[in-house]
Amino acid sequence: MADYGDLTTIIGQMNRAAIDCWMADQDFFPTWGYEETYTKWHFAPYQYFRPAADGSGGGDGVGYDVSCADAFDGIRSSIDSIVSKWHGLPDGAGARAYADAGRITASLLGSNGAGSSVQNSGSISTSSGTIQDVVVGNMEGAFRRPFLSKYFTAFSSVQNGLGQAAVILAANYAAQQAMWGAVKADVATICDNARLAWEKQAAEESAANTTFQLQVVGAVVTAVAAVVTAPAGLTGAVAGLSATSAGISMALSEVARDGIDIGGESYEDILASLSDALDKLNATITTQEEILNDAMQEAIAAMTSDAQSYNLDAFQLGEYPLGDGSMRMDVTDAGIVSDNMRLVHEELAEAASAIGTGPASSPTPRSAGIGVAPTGTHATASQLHGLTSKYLQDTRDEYERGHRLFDATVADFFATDAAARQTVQQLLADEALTGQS
Amino acid sequence: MSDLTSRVLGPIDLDGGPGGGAMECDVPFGSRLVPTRLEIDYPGRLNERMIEDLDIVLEHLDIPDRLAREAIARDVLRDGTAPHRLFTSWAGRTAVGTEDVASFVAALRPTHMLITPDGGRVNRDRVVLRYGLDGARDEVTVRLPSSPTGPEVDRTLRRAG
Repeated sequence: MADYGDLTTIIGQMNRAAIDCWMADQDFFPTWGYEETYTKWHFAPYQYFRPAADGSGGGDGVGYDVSCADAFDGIRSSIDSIVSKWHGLPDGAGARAYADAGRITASLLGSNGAGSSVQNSGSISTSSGTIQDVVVGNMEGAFRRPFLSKYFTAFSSVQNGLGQAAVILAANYAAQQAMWGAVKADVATICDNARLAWEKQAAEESAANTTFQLQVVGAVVTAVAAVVTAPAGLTGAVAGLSATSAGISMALSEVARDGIDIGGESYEDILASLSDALDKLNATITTQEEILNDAMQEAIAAMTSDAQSYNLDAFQLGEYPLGDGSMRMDVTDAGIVSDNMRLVHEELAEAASAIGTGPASSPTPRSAGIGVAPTGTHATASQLHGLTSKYLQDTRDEYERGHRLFDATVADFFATDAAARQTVQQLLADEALTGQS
Repeated sequence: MSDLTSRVLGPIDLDGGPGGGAMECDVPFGSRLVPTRLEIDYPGRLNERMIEDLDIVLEHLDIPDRLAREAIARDVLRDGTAPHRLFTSWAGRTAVGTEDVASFVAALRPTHMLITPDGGRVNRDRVVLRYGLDGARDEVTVRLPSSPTGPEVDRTLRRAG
């Protein structure tokens, strides 16, 4: 099986096979018993020097002042113009760390791991649920309504939304990680089959045509399916982004699996089939990257236009009454809520740390003309990465502020801290100033 | 008649229609004139370049002649081949020595040449030569195909005429 690592050798062999075929099209073949030259019909005079096994040289007449060296150069140049951009492809390894970071972040935010949907599982969701249960079941007071509205209901949406954004990022980087090994195999297979077709045609054998499937189609579908599967357990607030992430998998699975045909009845036919095959490979890569880009752009648009579903800092805390005389709570319950709020923002800090910073440059750079851009999906992924990272950090900070607000509310209620009410007022003022960022 | 003229064959005047054509003439081959038949499958594709290529072959008939005689020489040594049977009738014995091969091959005379330059894959033969011996009735046929396998000697002898 052809190996991309041998591409230079394969292209050299392909050049000679193509020139053999071009000569055969004109009834010139390697001479009987002396295959370093071509002669008419294998035996008739006159002769031309044949290129070396690596495809170089050849073309001058033997004993005659004639040459087809320019034509040979033209053939090599035609092939080079088709295959040159496929040299130096990335291996995808550079995307692995970012795929892992996206998966870990999604998992910390409650993704069920391999599944598509962030289902509010995990310790954040457990703590958040405990907070809601205790506040609703064991406490009284008008503060509960704005508190739960922001730090439970809105936060659950944000947790889901950021989880989905992390899933989409993970899908992008997982696709990039898986794509290039398969693309390399496809390039090597296409080039080697073109070589074979030219060799067979030059030898006037039949069945010079080959049909096969591109590996990159299945490789990307499989990689993304490991991150994004059918949506399940969606909440209304994030259905849009869940649909986006699930849509990646669906759209990728619909990328055409048409067979690649290499072959033809002449040098020109086979050259055209080589060009078409590599064009199809490029079209497949481009379609896959467009699907990833579209999903990420959809996520960016949703996160920008509906920031409060993805960034707790953008969600305005409602009027927060204190000292209305209706508040009831006991110390133990207050402690439970406070402890769980601390656990939540610690987990959020871990998630913010896990997603880290995006790659400074494209993890899968390639020549111009391959995929959506020489940097692939890097520009869009960086934008989504930056937005997700910022929203996650903002959400952590905002949730931590909410924790301090709750603690100050409790301290004020139990009168354990003379400055508690002032602290509450200060936190509320801060919240109002930083909200809607 | 086409406007094409061969330096060796003269004006190319094919007997036949668009489905193919042929012409007969005598071609200088060594010290003899050998009856030659040119068969063209695609008269519409005939052009000056093809006639030029053909002329170069016909002006260097020593090359196909040498290849054909080498093929016959190889087969003379093998029982059951057409050259071996022709040798047997010529020499009056079946045992063949190396010196016999040389004198047998030297005694062969080309008697007919068939040229089918555009047979493609359907007919790979490009030049088919027949060789006989003075006074003998049978001939050996050697085919020079457009094929990497080299010259082919027919397994059967052909009755002259």
